[in-house]
Amino acid sequence: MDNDLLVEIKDLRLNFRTFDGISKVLNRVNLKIWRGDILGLVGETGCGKTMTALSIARLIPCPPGEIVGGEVFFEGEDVLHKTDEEMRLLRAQKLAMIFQDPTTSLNPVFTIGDQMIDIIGSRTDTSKASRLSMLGSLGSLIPTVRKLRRGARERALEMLRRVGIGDAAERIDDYPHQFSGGMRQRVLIATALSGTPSLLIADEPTTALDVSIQAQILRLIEELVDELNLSVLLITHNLGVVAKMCQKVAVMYAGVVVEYGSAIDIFKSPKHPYTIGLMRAIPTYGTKKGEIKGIPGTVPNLLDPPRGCRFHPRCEHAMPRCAEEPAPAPVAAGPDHEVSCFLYS
Amino acid sequence: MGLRYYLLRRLLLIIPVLIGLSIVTFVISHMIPGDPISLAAGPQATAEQILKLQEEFGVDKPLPMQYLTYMKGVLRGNLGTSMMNRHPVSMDLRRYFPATLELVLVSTVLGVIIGVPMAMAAAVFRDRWPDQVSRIVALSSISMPVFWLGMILQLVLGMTWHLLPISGRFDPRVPFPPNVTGMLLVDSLLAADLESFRIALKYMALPAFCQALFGIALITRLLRADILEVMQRDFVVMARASGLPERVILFKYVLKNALIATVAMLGFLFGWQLSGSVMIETVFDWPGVGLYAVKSAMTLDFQPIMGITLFVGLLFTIVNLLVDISYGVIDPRIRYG
Amino acid sequence: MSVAVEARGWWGRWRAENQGLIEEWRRSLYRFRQSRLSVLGVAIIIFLLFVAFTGRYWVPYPDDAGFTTHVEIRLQGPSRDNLFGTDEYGRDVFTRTVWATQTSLIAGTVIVLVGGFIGIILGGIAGYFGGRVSEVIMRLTDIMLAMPGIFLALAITAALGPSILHAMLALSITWWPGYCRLVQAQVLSVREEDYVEAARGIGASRPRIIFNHILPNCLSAIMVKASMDFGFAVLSLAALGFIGVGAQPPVPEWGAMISKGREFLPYGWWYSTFPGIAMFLTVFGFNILGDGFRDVLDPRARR
Repeated sequence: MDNDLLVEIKDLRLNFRTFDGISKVLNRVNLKIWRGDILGLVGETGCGKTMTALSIARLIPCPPGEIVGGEVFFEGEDVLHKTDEEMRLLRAQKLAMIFQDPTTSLNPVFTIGDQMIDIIGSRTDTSKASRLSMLGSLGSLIPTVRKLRRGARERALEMLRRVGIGDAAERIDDYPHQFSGGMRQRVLIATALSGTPSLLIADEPTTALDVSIQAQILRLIEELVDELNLSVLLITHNLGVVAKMCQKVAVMYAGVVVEYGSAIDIFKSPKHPYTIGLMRAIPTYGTKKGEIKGIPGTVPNLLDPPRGCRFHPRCEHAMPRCAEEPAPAPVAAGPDHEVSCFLYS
Repeated sequence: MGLRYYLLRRLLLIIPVLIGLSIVTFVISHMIPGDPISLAAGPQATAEQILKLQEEFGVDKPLPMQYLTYMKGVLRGNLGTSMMNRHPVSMDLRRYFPATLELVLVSTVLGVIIGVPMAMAAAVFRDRWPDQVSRIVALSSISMPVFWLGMILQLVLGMTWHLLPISGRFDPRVPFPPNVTGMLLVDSLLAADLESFRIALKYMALPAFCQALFGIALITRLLRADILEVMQRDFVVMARASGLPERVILFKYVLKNALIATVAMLGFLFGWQLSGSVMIETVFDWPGVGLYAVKSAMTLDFQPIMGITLFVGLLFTIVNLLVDISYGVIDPRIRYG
Repeated sequence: MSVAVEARGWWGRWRAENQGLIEEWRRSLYRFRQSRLSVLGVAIIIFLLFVAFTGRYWVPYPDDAGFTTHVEIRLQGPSRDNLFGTDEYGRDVFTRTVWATQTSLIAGTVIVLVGGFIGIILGGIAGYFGGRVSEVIMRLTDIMLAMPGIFLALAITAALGPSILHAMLALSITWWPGYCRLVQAQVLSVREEDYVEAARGIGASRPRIIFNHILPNCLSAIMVKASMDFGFAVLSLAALGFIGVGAQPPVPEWGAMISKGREFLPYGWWYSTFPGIAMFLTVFGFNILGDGFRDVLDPRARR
């Protein structure tokens, strides 16, 4: 396997059991993340972006979720067949995740210091990590634990300062509700990057924040990515952010990656009709009224998705085979540019 | 600062509740269609004796006057006098209350140490056998008529197998430990008298078990639901994504959040157990406030009935206040104000 | 779509307006049927209803429900003639236990209905209108809730004189505050929902808003509470009977029978044992039903 390939998802299929039946959330998802790249994953709400990301960390809740096919490799290792403990260590050491809503991602009844220390401490074996965490600050009464906790606290302070919380020493013993939204997201970034991760998964990291704060947070992420030499999976539906930050882009529609390629290719010469529609829908300065075109129709119901290509009912180039044949496999549309569409195969 | 103001306001709010409660109980106890005075005087009493008794208890005056007189006494800590044994009600309450408190406290502790692990097992093994077993145990416990269960336990463990005493608080042939708190378990420990402690514990076993059943069931069911709910929250996904061990997530991150609602419920549980003490104390002849209430009700002794009602109401209100304050200890988001 | 709505009269209109709610109930019913324990609860309750309402026609000694005596067979253990044994007057405990089912079910229904009715009305008024009315009602509720129920019920029955009717009355009086607070809180939260706002905006009348929009949304919470409460009402009534301020002889009632049977322990174990089992079964049936309800109706317990 290629050494520069950090994550590879092959033909991943994921179902969710719901009251109304089986929802086919992911249908043959293929995705590659190269070392040092920032990959933007874009698509409408509910198209499976978050599920794809969670499946890299094997965090899909099962039940109701169920991976029914495909493979996920992280640094060449098969994620789906690791033991729970191996998986926990992988998450602790190699993966960093930032979620959409910094308010609900922090535990409200513990200080941020306590939570950061626990997470920093979790990068060792389970029993040691539990000993460090279970008693909270009372654990410091035990000499060995005190040493561990002090080390972790130092690291937490260092990271807090790095993400721009100047008075870290005073704020580390505050509770999450005492921070503003932007500050909480900084705390979460500090927490996520306090180890030595090789991949950062950022799931709409700025959606829940004020517009004025968004840019600051994105800049912070960019800086840290450079500094720590991280690869990033950036989930967003803000194409502007993608254009600015990402080297690679994957476009998802209804549980399928329809197009994957370099940011330049995707923006300058999109191939898939859905991507083309998406690009047309971006308003730019000087766009006149009525010139923005949406994509007609609505997102399909995943309980009973359209046969064949899932986009064909909304596609202006739909051909008979789009509805009849099984979903199109990705084909090369250029160097490192793949598209799943019968127009090109 | 915030806490002191909050406390003061809550304490002031108790006053109208107590006044309302006193009016309600006063009205009820004066609806008595039977004549408590002639009941107290006995069948052979002369008209003169009855008149004297009526004067003594002030029942010859109009009701509002009687109420004011009564409340004046209450403010001075005088809850009236029992017509049956002529003891001041406050004295009897002081004598009986520690027994009830001890029973309620022990059963609450039992409820927590049995209920919390059961709830956790049920939540972790959701829809598998530990969940089903705990569900059936909990539902059976709340469906159990405690007075009947107590009786069956007396029959089997006490009368048939002679394992445990069936009634009372302490072995009458052994001297009581010196009275400090009135709670025998505490007093015997204070006197470093392990033998008395053992005896008191034996007498406590059956009543406390019966009393604890409801708490066990309540905590098991509610805490299970809360744990399951907390496990869905984002911070659990985040903790898991950060690689925290599952046991830390469950025992630390989830449990503390889920316990907030359980603590909130302890006040309700306390009230329920006070109610339950009426039955438990009747079955086990436990000399507490519940038994005192039953005896007074059966003899239409209205001064103790009112006194007990007021006292229990005050107690319950104060416990609820304490519970509200203790939230703040585990939930830092609560700001008093 | 609006044409179809108008075509079907008030029922059709109600259904169209509450489509979401109906769909939710349909799902709830499905989920309820999935839970074996809840189905067991329904089975127990149907069995009890059958026993309660036909019992008097097939019990072996219908006269024993009253004041008869058969001294020659007093306090006999279970036998073929007397399945559950006999009591101190030689009456058949089986007959009396079956007979008491009706007493308890009717009493439980009355207590929950009366208590629930008062509570729902007061809570609805307090929640919807707010202001001073709400203040008065809620303070009264606080006062009632400040009192562990059984003490108040004890005081009331003692004052009115011991009888099963007075016990029911006393329990109904102590029962309403729980519903009042529940409904008030529900109405308060529903009142501000957008769809109620919208109904108000298009000029729907107050009763219409309350009955069509607010009450259906409180219904699930009320149903969960009522089904759990039914068991407690039966238990409380029996408790009062046990203490001696509830049902009076010769009325067959479980609590009073258990209490009487205590006097003959340990010899006459059957006397209190069987009524206790019957009572447990009843309360258990309603509790597992309520638990099933909660599982499907309480959004917090879902998933």
